[in-house]
Amino acid sequence: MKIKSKKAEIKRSLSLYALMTPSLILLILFSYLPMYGIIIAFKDYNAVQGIWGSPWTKNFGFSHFIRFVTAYNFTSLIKNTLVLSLYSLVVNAICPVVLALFVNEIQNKAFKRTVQTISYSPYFISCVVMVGMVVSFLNVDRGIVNKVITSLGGKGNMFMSDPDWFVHLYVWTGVWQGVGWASIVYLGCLSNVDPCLHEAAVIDGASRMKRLWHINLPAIIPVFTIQLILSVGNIMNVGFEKAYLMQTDANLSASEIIATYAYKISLLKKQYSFGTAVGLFNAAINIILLFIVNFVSKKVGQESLW
Amino acid sequence: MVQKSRENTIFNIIVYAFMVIFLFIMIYPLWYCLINAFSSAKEVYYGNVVWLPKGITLENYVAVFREKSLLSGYLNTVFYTFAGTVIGLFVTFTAAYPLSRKDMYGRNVFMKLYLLPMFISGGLVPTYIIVKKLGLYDTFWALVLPGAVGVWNVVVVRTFMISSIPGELQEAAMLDGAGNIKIFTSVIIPLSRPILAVMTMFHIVGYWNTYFNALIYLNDEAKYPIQLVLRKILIQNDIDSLISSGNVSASILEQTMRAEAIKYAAIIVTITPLLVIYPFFEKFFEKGMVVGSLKG
Amino acid sequence: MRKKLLSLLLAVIVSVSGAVFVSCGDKTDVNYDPDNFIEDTSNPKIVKDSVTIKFYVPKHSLHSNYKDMTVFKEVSRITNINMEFVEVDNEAYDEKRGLQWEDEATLPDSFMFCNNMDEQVMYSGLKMIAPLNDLIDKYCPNYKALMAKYPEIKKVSTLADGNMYSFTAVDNKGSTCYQYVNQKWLNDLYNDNVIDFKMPATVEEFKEMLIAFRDNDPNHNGIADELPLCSKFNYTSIFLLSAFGHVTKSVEITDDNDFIFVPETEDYKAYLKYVKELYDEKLMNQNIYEITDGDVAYYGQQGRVGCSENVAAFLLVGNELADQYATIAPLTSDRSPVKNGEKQRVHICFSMFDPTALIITEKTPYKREIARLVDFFYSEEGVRLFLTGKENVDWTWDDDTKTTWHTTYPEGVDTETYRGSITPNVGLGAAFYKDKNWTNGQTNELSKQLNKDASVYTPYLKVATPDLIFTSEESNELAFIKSALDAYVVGAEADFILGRKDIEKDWDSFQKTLKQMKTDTLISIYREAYKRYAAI
Repeated sequence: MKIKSKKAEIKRSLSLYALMTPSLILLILFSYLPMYGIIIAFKDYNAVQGIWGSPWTKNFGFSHFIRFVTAYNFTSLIKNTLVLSLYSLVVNAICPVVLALFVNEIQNKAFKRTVQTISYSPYFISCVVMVGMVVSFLNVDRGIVNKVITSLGGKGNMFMSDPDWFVHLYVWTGVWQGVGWASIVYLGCLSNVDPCLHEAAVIDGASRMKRLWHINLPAIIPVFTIQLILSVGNIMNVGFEKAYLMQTDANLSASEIIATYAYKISLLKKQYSFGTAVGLFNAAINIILLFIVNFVSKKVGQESLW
Repeated sequence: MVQKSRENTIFNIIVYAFMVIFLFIMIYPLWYCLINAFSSAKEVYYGNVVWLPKGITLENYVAVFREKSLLSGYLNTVFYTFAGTVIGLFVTFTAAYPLSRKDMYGRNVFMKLYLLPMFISGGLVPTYIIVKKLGLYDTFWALVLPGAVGVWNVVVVRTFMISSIPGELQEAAMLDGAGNIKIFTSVIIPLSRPILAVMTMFHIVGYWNTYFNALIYLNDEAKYPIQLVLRKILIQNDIDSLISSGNVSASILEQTMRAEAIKYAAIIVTITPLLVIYPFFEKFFEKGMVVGSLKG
Repeated sequence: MRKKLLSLLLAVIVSVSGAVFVSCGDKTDVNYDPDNFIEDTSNPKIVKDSVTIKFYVPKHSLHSNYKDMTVFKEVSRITNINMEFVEVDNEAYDEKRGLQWEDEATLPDSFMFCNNMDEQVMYSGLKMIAPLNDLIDKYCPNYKALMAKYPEIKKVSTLADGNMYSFTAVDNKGSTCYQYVNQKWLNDLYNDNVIDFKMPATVEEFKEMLIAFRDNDPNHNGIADELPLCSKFNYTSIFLLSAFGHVTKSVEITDDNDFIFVPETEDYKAYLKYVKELYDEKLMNQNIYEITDGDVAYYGQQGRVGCSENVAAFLLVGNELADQYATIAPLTSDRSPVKNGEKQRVHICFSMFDPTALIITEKTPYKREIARLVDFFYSEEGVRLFLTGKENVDWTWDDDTKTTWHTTYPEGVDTETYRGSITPNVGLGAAFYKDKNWTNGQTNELSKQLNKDASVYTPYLKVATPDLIFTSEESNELAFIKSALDAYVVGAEADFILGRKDIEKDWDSFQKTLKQMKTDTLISIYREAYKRYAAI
């Protein structure tokens, strides 16, 4: 009986399987097949012997990892990656909340719509154009930023070749692009706040500031937490493209992160095994973080991610 | 009461002041590109264009479209975006629907199968080898297929289907004798309009802005998308590629100046289509983003 | 049941993936006819019936399509070989090229230009590149003659296994970079007794000159808008460094054939201090790390630039002002090496023998054909064609003695763009054989001037290190060390010059860091490699 029902279940699902087939094929081809490639992190890969045939490295296959961890630039890579991602994380978590709270206070509907629409626009600009704009704006002689600084009597700065500036540029241009977009979720939460709460608070004599603080902000917190957890789990995945495009010789000491290093060492120096090991190291830290975060959020009663 | 309204006014002033500053920061960089794109090369190069265009001209745009690489890049991008979006939407929705069906046999296994690539990826070299072996190298398929199944997108669409489409509707359709595929096309798709709109926008943005896959998988310059051409001009400052099609008798200075102005025109030409279409999708964003922020 | 389904799925995935990975069929050309090849090297034709051979080449934005270039059209006509090209944009060349090796099925027959040594070591070890020794011996009379004339060729291109895998690009003039200085300003200042030399010879005089440029309004426009030293920093910094006895910021060979890492020397410290002085006193452009060629040209054409680096003065300041500029010979300082009581000048020389010109893949059946084809580029006729184009179309002899010649490019076209339709020797400087006997014969005004500009440096040229050959372990280690070290040195130098670090205070920690980044290992690798080099 039970087996029969299983058969019936499968039979009924057949057309669903058919629907899934195209995406499954793509998934297998471009996600699962390449996973074989991870093996080369434990091997001394070469083109002739291929992924299977290349010899395993010493130290039970871990010599590339050991080499990376003991490399001189290891600490600076980790540091740069963490600084960039943590800074980014904090700023990008807070700014959209602030923006949403303010936008929500705009009483003129048309103005509110306009602000929202405009605030989304930078999100659609590509990384290449974004970095191109940054480079042009910050040109030390002719860029608008330095023109303003010098006209105010300040001293022009070579922003793009200053390691100290790289982090700020990276993070705040990211905010410029993403803050409006990220605030959508919070505005959604705010529009769901029960108007009765506000009415009651007004009767109690609460100021708008107070209501913002005691009603609107708490309404955002749950979604904020989920968003934060998600980003913590993604902490090592600093946007490779933007960092790579923003790198100059002179700011490398701050802009060389694990992802760009892995890219260069594998593609430009052809150390594929070593590069893959570096990438894997990064992914491993990420997964561990994700599990920790998930575990903690389960413990404190928040929803788990899966 | 008087005090109340005074407090309210102050609060409003703060809010509006903040908004005005915020809007200025959001708009000015784009405005700056726009006015420079319409200004004469000389004014642009000397950095004189600050608030309004100076020496208004369309020359820069003419130059953009006369430049072979920019024009072909642009046309390629339009095509890649269109084809990529169609294919991407197709595989995303056909994957998401079965996964949203609680009664599908083996649903959890499939779900895990779709989720795993979120955490592990094989990396560049193995993916490259696959692309080559499949004969996709240097074809537009290499830009479209490897990233077509966005796992995250599938999860979001699936969540939407579970949470926003009443199960009774499907059951009713089933009782009417509709098969799974029929339900998918005539019940699910029409009811998924909001998420379809959001996904369409995501795909358009993704394909319009892609450059890295093109960098790795395309060889033939004639197939380059606009972003790759822009990278050369904007970031690597390779003005040779602009000069070559320009006026050959121009001095280096003139060429440099012109290249600077063309950059802005190229930026404007590249970002305009997206900035024009997104407001049409805007009313769906909220829905899509809220679903996306829920757990998968 | 569920488990079964999962394992079934996995099984499918595994078998499909396995199949895809294994199915890399070797597609060698089964139709190769060995008798089609013409062995006789005096016959310009290489094959009887035309064959198609595929070359992998770097494409610069100044290049026309390779198949449309005069050189290759001519060569195809002469040799009866149909040359096909895989053109790869030079901006992403390294990435693409590296990945190309990963797929043997689509390897071209040959890689033309940019065949770096690491790659040769790696892929010759894997038997993917063909050794050339026999081929050269049998089919390359011109190249063999050149090897006899320049024994260095063999030294720089022979790998540890005793084989050569790449043809060597030869530039027997030795190319370098030029530091230009405004001669007119200098003369005026000399005549006004502001300075007491006509051309600075020491770092002190150089600085004095820059100060005079800054303070005396040499362009006579009433504003102190002169930019004494205004240049991109890469080669200008090497020019300044050479006054302290070194021509690179990396590994350098010493006079007694030992190796040093230049940033670890006191000379480098003195150089840093000197540059910092120039920088702090605003004698050089403040945006040294960001200025572009376009920016320099912008100031140059306004007549504001005192000293700058470029490959030709007209590129710097435009044709009208170009005659005001002259090249400045390398400077000396109290740290210059002394020989026979005299301070030695040095100037960087880009390597004259570059074993990167062309390699042949092991899988191609056309090894002999390619060898003969390449040899053509080392012949007198080939050199002329490759560097200048066709006789009586692109150039003509000045007179019947056929010693000097001039180009006859069409009026009004951009020279570089036009040359890009003739030869790949544009933008990238790709070449097989740049013979000075030929290039010195050019009598166009510009080239005469350039030859004169270059002559200032000719006696002092020094190559940083010979082109050593590393084993595959060594080059792995080098890639590993250098990827971090090079970036660090660039960053630290910027920090010192821009004042983010103090040269005196932070010097020791700088040195310590260099040591931690394994400069000692680096040096010992070079020493080992040199032992082998000297033994050939």
